[in-house]
Amino acid sequence: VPVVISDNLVLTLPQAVGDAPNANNPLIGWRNLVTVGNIGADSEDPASPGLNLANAMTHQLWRSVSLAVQYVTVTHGAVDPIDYVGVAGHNFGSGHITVRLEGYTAVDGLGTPLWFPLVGEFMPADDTPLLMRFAPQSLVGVRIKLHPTTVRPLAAVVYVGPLLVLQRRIYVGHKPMPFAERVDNVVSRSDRGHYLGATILSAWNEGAIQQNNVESEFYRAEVEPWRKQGVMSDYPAEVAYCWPAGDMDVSNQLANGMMQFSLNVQGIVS
Amino acid sequence: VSEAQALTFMEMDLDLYRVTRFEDVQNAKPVRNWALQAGVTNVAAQGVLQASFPAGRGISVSRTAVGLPSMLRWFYPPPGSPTIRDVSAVALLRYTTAAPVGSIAGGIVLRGLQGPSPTLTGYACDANGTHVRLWEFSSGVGDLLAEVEFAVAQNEDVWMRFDTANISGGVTLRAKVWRGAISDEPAEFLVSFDDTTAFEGSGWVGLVVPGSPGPTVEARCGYFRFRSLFGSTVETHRHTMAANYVPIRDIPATPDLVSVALNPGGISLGSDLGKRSQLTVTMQDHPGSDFGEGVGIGSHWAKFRARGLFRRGQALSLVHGTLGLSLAEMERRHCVLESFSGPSRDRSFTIVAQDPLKLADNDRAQAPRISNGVLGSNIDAAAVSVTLAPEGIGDAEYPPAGFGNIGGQEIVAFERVGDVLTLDRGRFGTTPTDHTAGDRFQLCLNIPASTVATIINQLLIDYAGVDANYIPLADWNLECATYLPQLYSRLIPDPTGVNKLISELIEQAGLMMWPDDIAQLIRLQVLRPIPTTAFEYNDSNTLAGTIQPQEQPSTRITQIWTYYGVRNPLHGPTVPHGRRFRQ
Repeated sequence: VPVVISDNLVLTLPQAVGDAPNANNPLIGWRNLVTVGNIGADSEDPASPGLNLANAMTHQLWRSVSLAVQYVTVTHGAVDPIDYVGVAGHNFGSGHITVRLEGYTAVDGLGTPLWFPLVGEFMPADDTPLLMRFAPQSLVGVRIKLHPTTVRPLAAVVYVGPLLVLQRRIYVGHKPMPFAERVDNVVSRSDRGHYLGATILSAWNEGAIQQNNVESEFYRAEVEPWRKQGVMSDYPAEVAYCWPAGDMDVSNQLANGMMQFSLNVQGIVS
Repeated sequence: VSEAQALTFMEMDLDLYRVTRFEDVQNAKPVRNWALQAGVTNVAAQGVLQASFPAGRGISVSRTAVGLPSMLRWFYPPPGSPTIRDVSAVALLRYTTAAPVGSIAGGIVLRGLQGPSPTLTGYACDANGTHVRLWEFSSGVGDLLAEVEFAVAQNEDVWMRFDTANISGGVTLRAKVWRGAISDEPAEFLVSFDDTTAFEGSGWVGLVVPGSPGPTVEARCGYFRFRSLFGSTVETHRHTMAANYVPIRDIPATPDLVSVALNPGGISLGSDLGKRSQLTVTMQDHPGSDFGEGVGIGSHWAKFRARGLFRRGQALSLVHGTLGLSLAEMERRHCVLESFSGPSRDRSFTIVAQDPLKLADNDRAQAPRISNGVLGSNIDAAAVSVTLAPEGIGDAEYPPAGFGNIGGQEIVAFERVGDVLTLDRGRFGTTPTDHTAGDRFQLCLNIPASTVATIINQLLIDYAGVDANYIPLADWNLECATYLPQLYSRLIPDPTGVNKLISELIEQAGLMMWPDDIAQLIRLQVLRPIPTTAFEYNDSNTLAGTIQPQEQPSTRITQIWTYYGVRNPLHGPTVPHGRRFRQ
């Protein structure tokens, strides 16, 4: 049974036997097994194909042309365990589209995958990035089952892989991405002092990920590969699809080898 | 106080361009966006792994038994949309089995159409192992149009380019095949054919299935791309300034627009065509994909440049609006592409567009056009006939009758049959004189008594190539009939810049012209008092600090010289001894 602890963060099982579900530490979904060659959608607009889900760009959408029950399937064939599927730039919430996540490890005698549920059916509350987390396990493939009602599904990015769970929790002073909006606007006034109105020229979401007292082994094994690759990051209770807004600032913090780092990010929250 | 959320879009109409490396193909599975159009029995089209192809995979098309002619249509155009006519396609092909003698091997099909099954029409190019061949399919039957020897071995990868374009009276076809990399493409085409008898329409693009009507054969394709030529089929590319409220789902756009600078044009009252408005658009380069493919191969604007999609004069629109408006409700300014630069080291890419009157610039448009005919022999002052050279130039460039300028010395009236001219010497105040073989015979532009609206319309459309839709001729005629019921005539003996000619008219007739980039029209108005109903700009409705008066003493007129009554058009309109004079 899934545990929904935020609008769009869905946890199913502990990460490992004996662990309690933990959504307190920041979750970073940067490892991604999705490629153009292993993702497909049952239905697609030729001008907005399912292949668009395999690149990180959020303006290139996959658009379904069907209202039937349908699947977005990733046949990644990885041996290493995976524990999350992320979807950004979707309309599953506003479109009242039911979502279910399935995986498979074996096929029947005809070669048909034997799908089993990873995350049960739920309907996202809104269109903020969706992070579906499940117990780490080896899967040949995963598929997102979508059950539309009146709106055809669309999405921009799908990530599948193992999560990075940061060692430390969020500190006081952290600005959640959904509320970290910055605005560039102009206010106009005439020669005679009349108010001529105001115009927002641009707006974006920008925040920072900061961690202190990070064990040096953890940093080198888990954080450094992320720093080199890029980012799709997610916070408990506030999920965002982000990208770096600069270099990660890393330094040794304590005499015992503890490290600290900070990364400014920009992202989309819907 | 609510704030409007600004939206800015830039749209360009560019030649249609599609490319696939079959990156998502799975072995022995159907291939996305490829559809068999006819003869679907005994034919297979499916994914195939082929290590030598760019993505290690491709599409296999094969005939499993005797069957009807078959073609595979790629996904453009989707059902119901316009088809494509002038087009160039490139494919990487591999023939794994030899085509039976007399049948078609796999290759490219252009302008494909399907009537009632199995009726097929279209043009195809194939390589059957010994020859590269051009075919025309009509009512399902393939006719060989042309062929040239070119050996292609079984299981050899070869590149093929196949073009079709409409020409006067028919369709020109041309093709080439080469080995190695796509960049090894030779400059010369191997085989060409001008088809003046049949299919001049448009259709879809794809592959022809080999072996029709023969037995089992297979061809593979590991790369396929096509583009329309000369803007015959365009699609709109839309870009937007990035903001988290841009409704990209409803108005698809690439959010890479960094800045837009619109320098408004200047209207020059009664003087000339004024200053051209200029739109400078700067984009940020980024990874680019072709419908999901090729993300790791080149960036978006680098691809734009490499693909030669920029064509001077194509339409560009700047769209301003606020959130909540539909695209149709937003303000749209129309320009034409002028130049581009980038991607630069900072990954920026800049496009410059201008108003359509730029097409009338003196270095781009001249009236009359240069004539290439010369006198074929010496003539004296009394000669009344001469033959033009080179042979055939008469029918190619000259009307049956008109006025000509011989070597810039004499204006003559002529009547023409073939290359032979019958001359009426010494017209328009010029004196008959001797001319030598090789003197240029320049066709003059004779403008009979006409309104300025008629003259400017002719100059812009016929000589500057301005789209007739830009010119509201009925409005111009009404303006002239109301405020300038005067006719003008002129003989223009040599190619002269259209901007210069129109500017002379503007000065002589007291006009002003300007491009209305929102209405997408070129306006013409006779100089007259400003109506009392005109909109008033004052210090209540203008932005603080934006109005700056400036004195222009250099434009004050203290004395007027008038030249009139042209004595000899060869001396030019501004040469005093060519005209009468009054101060």
